[in-house]
Amino acid sequence: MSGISFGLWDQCVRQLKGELTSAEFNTWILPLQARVHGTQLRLLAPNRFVLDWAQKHYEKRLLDLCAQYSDGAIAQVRFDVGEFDRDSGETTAQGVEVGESATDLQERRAAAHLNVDFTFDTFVEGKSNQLARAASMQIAQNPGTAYNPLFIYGGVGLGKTHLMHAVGNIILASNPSARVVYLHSERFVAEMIKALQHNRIEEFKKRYRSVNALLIDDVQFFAGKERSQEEFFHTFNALFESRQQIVLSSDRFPKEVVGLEERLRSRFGWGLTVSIDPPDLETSVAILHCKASQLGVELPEDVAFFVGRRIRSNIRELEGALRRLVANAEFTGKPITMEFAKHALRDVLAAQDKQVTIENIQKTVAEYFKLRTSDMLSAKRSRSLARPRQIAMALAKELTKHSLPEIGKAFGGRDHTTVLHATRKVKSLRESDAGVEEDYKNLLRTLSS
Amino acid sequence: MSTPYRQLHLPIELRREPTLEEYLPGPNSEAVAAITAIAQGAGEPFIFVFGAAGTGKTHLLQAACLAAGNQGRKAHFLPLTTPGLDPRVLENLERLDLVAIDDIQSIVGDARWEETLFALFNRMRDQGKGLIMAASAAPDALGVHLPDLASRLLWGPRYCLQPLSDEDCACLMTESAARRGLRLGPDIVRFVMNRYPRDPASLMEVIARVDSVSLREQRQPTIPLVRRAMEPDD
Repeated sequence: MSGISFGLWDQCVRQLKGELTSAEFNTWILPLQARVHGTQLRLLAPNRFVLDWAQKHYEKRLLDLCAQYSDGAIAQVRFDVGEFDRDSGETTAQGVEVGESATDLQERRAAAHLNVDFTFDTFVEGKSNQLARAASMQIAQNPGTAYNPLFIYGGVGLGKTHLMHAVGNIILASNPSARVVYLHSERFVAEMIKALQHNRIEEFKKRYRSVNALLIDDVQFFAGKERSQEEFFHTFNALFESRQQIVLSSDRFPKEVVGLEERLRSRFGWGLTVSIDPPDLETSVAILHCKASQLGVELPEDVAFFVGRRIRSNIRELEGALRRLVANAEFTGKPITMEFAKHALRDVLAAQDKQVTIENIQKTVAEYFKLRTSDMLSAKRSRSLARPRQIAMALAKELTKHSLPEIGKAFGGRDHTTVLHATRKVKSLRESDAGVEEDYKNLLRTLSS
Repeated sequence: MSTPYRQLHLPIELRREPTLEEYLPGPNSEAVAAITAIAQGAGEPFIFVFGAAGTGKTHLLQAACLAAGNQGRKAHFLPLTTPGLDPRVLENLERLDLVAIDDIQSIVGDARWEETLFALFNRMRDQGKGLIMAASAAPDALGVHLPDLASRLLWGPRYCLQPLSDEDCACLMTESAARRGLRLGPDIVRFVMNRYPRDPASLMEVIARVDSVSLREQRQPTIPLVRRAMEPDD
């Protein structure tokens, strides 16, 4: 690595920042890493797509800039896929070998792709997951002998992955030399494809067929991928025959996973199949308390029940809401109370972000004053029509970002000065007439809730 | 015979970098704080922002990437509406420190995109890398087909960006104009606010046009000048 490398690339970057739109710059230049090697500027892109794009659109310009800023010393720009090690400047190899050189437990966990936070202690037990938890604990303590394979199925975000990691963590903790691998099925497929491309399929086979515990998440993603299924079939057989533990998860019962070969589906059902259902309210509340304490926050009981009652779909959403609540409390420095929670979670709890449109305002105001929507657009100027119309115009100005001419046009082709007049009129009426103020507030609440 | 001559202004317009400092937070200060933190590699590792057009989602995502880049962290801004993109663009992005993916709504319903995005989410999470996603609607209102992706989009804090109030927009307009050396009096601001769309992106467009005419005519903006600047292009 040469001394001019950073300076040269910085100059190129500064120049390109001025020449490209910010979107082009942030999308195609920012993710590149650069080093100078001899007379060459080496650029590494995170993937082939970014490489091709950057090379196609910016190679020529970069060559010119390099020549200019290096006084002709740099005559070549070379693009590759990869990344430089931050310190040594060397390109690092991708992928972690399975526990080969890992010395302590922490390294072994990382090599096994295990998340240290997903343990049995942090798994909140309830009626919906009791059996799955008990079975997982059983195989974690007696790998390869209790149930093989253990197949856990259930909807998204209910804790399947958590249990798989917990199993892996226990196996590793009780036998530090065990070779454990947790892998999402999609990653198994991707690694196999990479191995095929680089003529390393034998190595790949050997790696997965020699582990003591293989934990494969979301096996439904094997659907339709025949070559991967074939490979996984042989891996499964090898591990099963040598009594090594296999744990699988899926979003449905093994027999119902479409796009999987029959021989795989039947093998998946050889051991024990357990389900995880959505948590009941009490379990949701317990999960919230557990996650809150992991975040270092104490959650009042009424708030936990409020959130648990409102979010019933899955634990990820429950956690998302809690994280938002905690972030808001940290940001504002306020304690988490019921009122605070209702306010902080208003976006989360709104079934969806309701877009307020002029049409929607016209319809709501017409209904409120028991008029027809067409009255909002008509040329009639009787007070019983003009007042609601003015209120609707004022609401359109407040709740939408349409220009006043656009609002006027939407109200039967009126001029922007009419809209301006209406908003001023409503403003002064709201100050002087409590009835108008109440109507306006009611409508505002209806439209923005 | 001399022909009437109108001096052409130089076609150089200051390329404006969308920075976090330039984003007027208004009602969105909490979202801005969360994005500032993730850009620095702190705070929540995954954030979802949504909101109507013109609320500054793209600005914030780009600003986060720039801020990360300025600190020597590898970042990638990826608007999924870019023509010609395909899911391979998401490969290996976990090598970067921060990835900001815009316009998620544009790939919803495409099985390959959804599956690839889901896989990227898992890899980024496994590696503890920063991920920001933005869309026009809340994650549960997008209609994502793949339940595994849908539930993950709900995993972190989500922020609904609110439009700026008229007062904030007026303030933003005056400040942005001042950065370009333009003096916009309250009468001009009122004139613009009463006649043109009042979202920040449209207002910035007005300022760019006014700036261009002001440069060409070599004088500070007046209401007639603004009117001329906003006439449709020939």
